[in-house]
Amino acid sequence: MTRVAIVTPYHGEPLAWIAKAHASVRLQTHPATHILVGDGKPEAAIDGWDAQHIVLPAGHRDWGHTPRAIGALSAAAQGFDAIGFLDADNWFYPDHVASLLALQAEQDLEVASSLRVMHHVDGRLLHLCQLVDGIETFDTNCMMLFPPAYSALPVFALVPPDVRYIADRWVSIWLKRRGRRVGCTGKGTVAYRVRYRYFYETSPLPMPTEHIVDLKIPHPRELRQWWLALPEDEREFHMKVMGAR
Amino acid sequence: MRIAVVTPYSDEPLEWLRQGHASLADQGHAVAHILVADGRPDAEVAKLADQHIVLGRRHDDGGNVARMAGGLSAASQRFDAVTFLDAADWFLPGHLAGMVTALEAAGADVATARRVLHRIDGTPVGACRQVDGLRTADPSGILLAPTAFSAIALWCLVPQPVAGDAAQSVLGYLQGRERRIVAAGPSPTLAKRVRTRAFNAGLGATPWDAWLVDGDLPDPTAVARWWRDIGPEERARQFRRIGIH
Repeated sequence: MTRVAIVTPYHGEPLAWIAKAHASVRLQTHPATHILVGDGKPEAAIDGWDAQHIVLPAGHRDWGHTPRAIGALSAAAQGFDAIGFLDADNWFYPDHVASLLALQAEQDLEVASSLRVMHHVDGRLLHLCQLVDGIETFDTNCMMLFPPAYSALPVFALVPPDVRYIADRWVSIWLKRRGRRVGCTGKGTVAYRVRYRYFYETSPLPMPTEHIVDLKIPHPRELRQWWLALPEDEREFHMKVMGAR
Repeated sequence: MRIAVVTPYSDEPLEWLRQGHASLADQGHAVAHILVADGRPDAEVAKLADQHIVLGRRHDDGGNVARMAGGLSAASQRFDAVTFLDAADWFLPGHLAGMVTALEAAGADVATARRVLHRIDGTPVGACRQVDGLRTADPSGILLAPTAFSAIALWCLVPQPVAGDAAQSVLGYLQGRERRIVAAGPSPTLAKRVRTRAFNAGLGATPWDAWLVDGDLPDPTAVARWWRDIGPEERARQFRRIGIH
């Protein structure tokens, strides 16, 4: 049976949210090992869960990307056949892992992706996300990597500091540039709890009163402009740090 | 230059860890000591650490996952260099200053050190003739500049048959990615405590006999032979997995 690890970084999210994420991993129709990585705010209760628990002493302030890389590389070293990700505020629908594995088996993929379903901060269902298509645009929660793609894992932690909050975007660029085979199930199997202020500001929903994040994800065109504005030697340096050169 | 020194530990005597930690004071460079508990966190060891990472389960992999976790965390924190110090080893005075001088003088991405072998009770035996820092390396004798940080993942991505001596594959990866490697020297500056029973034969009883292990010191040239003998197809598969292609 394919051995699957799911990595969840956490840093101060409500324990009830982390428990919901964990329960959704435990309830997958294909079993998965849950690796939780505390990024500076460890929850002692997790030591009692049926999970692996890594505790980092200080928050890396990079939206979970460094703990994500550490948890995932730990899974790679343990010989897991597939590695997925789940943020502490989200959860999976029960067939998420099984549907990704089925797609990989059918198409011999190196990266499989799902779609995501938007949920309100309070948990209620909103709609299928229109932005993430699993081919051109990924969400980390939707991705599952197979061993030929494991070399992308350190990129999560090594992106340039100014843009580390979108390290997942860099990982997807790295995978595409390296010609990794990518496919999407076309199914929304990730429940994505939307916490972005701009999302509510541009919707008819009332603004939630807590757990809101004031961050705007840039358009890919903006990221490209930022990159091309860097001096060439600086771009070369960042490429080497990430292992892209 | 801000240097992070990463030490994995599991059940080594506190005295050994204190000796390694104390050796950092004579390096001619301020360092941050990151200690990584591989499944058995120790409150006394944590007191030595500038940062203390806890892996909730023991990996029994010679410290590879722990090296990766501490190293990638340090890389993400943008230390100027990352190096490693095994729990049984220590640095001779000026070791890091010599590594940094060699690194900067050569404009290199990586500096390596030669080693002096010691019996389990700490008595020196002599310079190691197998590890030269260019064709072969010791895990405690590798200092990485940022342009070599992607090699930190190799501690976890090395193929299982050669994971027991992962330092050789880390060195091979760096060579494969055309990083400049300089061997500091010519004198060895790394003190290596050898725990194998055969190496310590004739020493008589010591307080450390419980920490003796069977087998011989790994033959670093065996890893190169393994890579050569697996054949081009399997080698290409492994290169893809670790990120050389």
